Order: sequence, then structure tokens, then C-alpha cells
Amino acid sequence: MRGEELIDLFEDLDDELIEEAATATLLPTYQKRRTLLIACACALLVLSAPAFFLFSGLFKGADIPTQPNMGGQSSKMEASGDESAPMDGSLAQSDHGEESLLPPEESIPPGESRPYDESEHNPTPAPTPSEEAYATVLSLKMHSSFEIYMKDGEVTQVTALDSESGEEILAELKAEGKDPTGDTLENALVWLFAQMLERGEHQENDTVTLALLAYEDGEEQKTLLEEGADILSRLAESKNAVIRIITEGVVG
Amino acid sequence: MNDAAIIDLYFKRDEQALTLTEEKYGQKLRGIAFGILSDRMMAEECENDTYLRAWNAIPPASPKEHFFAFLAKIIRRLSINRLRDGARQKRNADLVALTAELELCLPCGEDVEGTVDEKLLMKSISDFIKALPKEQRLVFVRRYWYLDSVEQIASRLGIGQSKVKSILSRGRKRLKEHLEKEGFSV
Repeated sequence: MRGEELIDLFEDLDDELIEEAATATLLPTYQKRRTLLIACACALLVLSAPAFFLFSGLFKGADIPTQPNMGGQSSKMEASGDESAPMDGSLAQSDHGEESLLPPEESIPPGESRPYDESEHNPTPAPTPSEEAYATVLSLKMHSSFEIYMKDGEVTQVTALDSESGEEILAELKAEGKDPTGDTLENALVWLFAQMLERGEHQENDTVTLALLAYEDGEEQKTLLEEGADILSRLAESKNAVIRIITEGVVG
Repeated sequence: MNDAAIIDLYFKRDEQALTLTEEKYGQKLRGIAFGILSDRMMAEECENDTYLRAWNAIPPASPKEHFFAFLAKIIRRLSINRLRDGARQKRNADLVALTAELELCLPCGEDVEGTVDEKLLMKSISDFIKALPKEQRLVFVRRYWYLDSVEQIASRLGIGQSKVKSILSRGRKRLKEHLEKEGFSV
């Protein structure tokens, strides 16, 4: 047998092995990572109110309040010698008139030291964008909104946003055995979009917004958005639906 | 629609069978061809040829249990042939590298009788791979059946490239030992 025929020889590999490897991912590893991430997020929320605001700010695009003293690093509070302010998370005005998580100075009786706050001495580090960017979030928005989380070209999670019908769509897909998790972006978009169209949740000239969040590589982001838009265009055409697709990229 | 129902449509010569096949497996099949050819247009051509071959092969073939594997084998063969015919030099180089790896652990050249019983050999290889732990099994099949690069495998499975290389290297060594034990001269 010649060397290159060895490649051909492999063609007759067992069918089960081929099918198993077709959508091969080591899911337990991903699930462990996800579970770990969720656990970390919960710990952050419970242990640190400032971290909570920062966390939600990252995802909702809200104004992130002035970072309170996170310890370890020199902060304005330390520089001004004001170390007596308690950190209870209440809102107050900062020197610049912005809302701050620091309490007003009047709330501390003169001569009294503030109570010991363990979180100040053992602060929980706030999540940085790069830590949150573990996955790509592709948001598909029509009348139902979804966030499609991706990693290494594969969908790791699909979440319905602010919509009961979105949840229903996901439940229906699952019942049909179409679980986007672990599948390709194309299948996830096709299934979600087809479901939305089937439910009549569209009108002519509907706008579908594809937004990409928390993705650091600009080129990859562009490719993914274009790919998503291309898939939806083809799908809309095949379903005789007239839609306008707007792609926006938001780097987290 | 399940595979058996799609196969029934092939038997009835209903062309909807092709549409349903494309909807269900088109993406994955294109992925296999693109992985081998690195050319979207050629991959799509191979995909279309695959549907035609399937249409001609069913009936009499009736791959109700492993329809995807049936299609995947067709598109793999078409893609490799296309690669050998064409001028895809870079991917051809990949193929040469892959062949060199396989030569280290599989019977190559002619044995005493002048031939190797390929079916027996492939069964032995399949048995060996089936007995591997899942991670090693996936790495092996992705490399030698899907012809993925080490980098692609690492990215797909979420493990390091060095780990992939070490799994492949140890796997080849063990495969060689396994085949020698089974009476193949490697």
C-alpha cells in the first residue's frame, strides 16, 4: 500500500466514530468552565455591591459608577486622607458631583472611626472585560431577543432576553431536538429565526439587529457579523420574508 | 425529520429528499470539505456532488442508521480527490505531512504476500480507536478522518496544542503496537 493510500484507508472508519467526532466538543470541560464562571459571578454579587454595579454595567452598557476604593491600589479616597468613610454601598455625590458609591461625609460622626469592613481589606477584584470576553455574545433581536454565546466557533449558550416568547421558542427548539448549544452559529441562527418567522412575529421591512458584544478581535468580529448577516439574508429570502438586517459591533 | 424518513423519500425518488438532506447535514458536510480543501467554492461543489452521488446510490444503498457517516464518507473522498487533482499546494503539503504521520504506525509498502487485507486492517484500527478514552478518540478521528490540523483540534476541543500532539504521538505508537500484535507488519 502506498503512503498516500493510508489516508484513503481511513475512509472506511467505523460510522459511529465518524458521527461522534462530527460535532466533537468536550462538553464537560465547557460546562465546568461555565459553572465556574456562574459560581464566580454569584460570589461577586453576594460579596461585593460595587462589583455588582460594575458587573451589571458591563452588560447593560449603563454608566459605570466611579470605582470605589478597591484596596491595594492608590485611590482618590486614600490620597485625600479620608479613610474614615464606611463602605456600605450607599449612594452619595462625589467631588465632581457624580453619583458615587461612597457615603456622604456627614454620615460619620466626628471622632468615630468607621466599622471594619472585611471587603475593603480583602477586596474581590472586579471582572475585567477580557475575563468577561470568554465568549462571544451575538445578539439576535427582532420581536424576540436572544444572546448567542460562542467560543471557538461554536455556540456554548443561547439565552432569551426580556421575552416570554423567546423562552417559548427555546423550549420548542429543545423539544424538537434542536439544541443550539454545541452547534454552529448557522444552525443556531437558522433555528431561532425560522421559529420567529413561523410564529408570524415579523412584518415586512422588519429590522433584525445583530450585535456582537465582548469580542476583542476586530477582524474576527467583522467576519462573524458578516457571516450572521449572510445567513439571515439567505434564510429570509428562502422564507420570502422581507427584513432589513443591521449589524453593529460592540466590543466589550 | 429523521434519517429513515429522508431515506424513504430517496426510495420514492422524491427530490425533496435532497432539500431535506441539505437542510439537515449541509453545513456539516461543507465543513468537512472546507476543512480539506480550504476553498469555499470547491467545498460547495463537492457538497453538490455528494447529494448527486447519494441520489444515485440510494437505492440500493439504505443507510438509515448512519446516514450522516454515509454522506460524510462520500464528501471526504470527493474532497481528497479534488485536492489531489487541483493545485491546492498548501493543503497538499498538509496531506503529505499527514501521510508521513500515518506511515509511522500503519502497514506501508507491500508485505510478503504483496497485499494487505484492507478491510481487516481497518476493522483492527476501528477497534483500537473505539477502545480509546473519549478525548483521545476524538483527537484521533478529527486528525486522521476529518484531516483537521493540530491547531483546529485544540481549538475545537478546548485543549492545548501540545496536548493534542502528545495524544497523537502516543496514540500512533500504541496503534503500531496494536497492529503488530494483530499480525500486521508495520
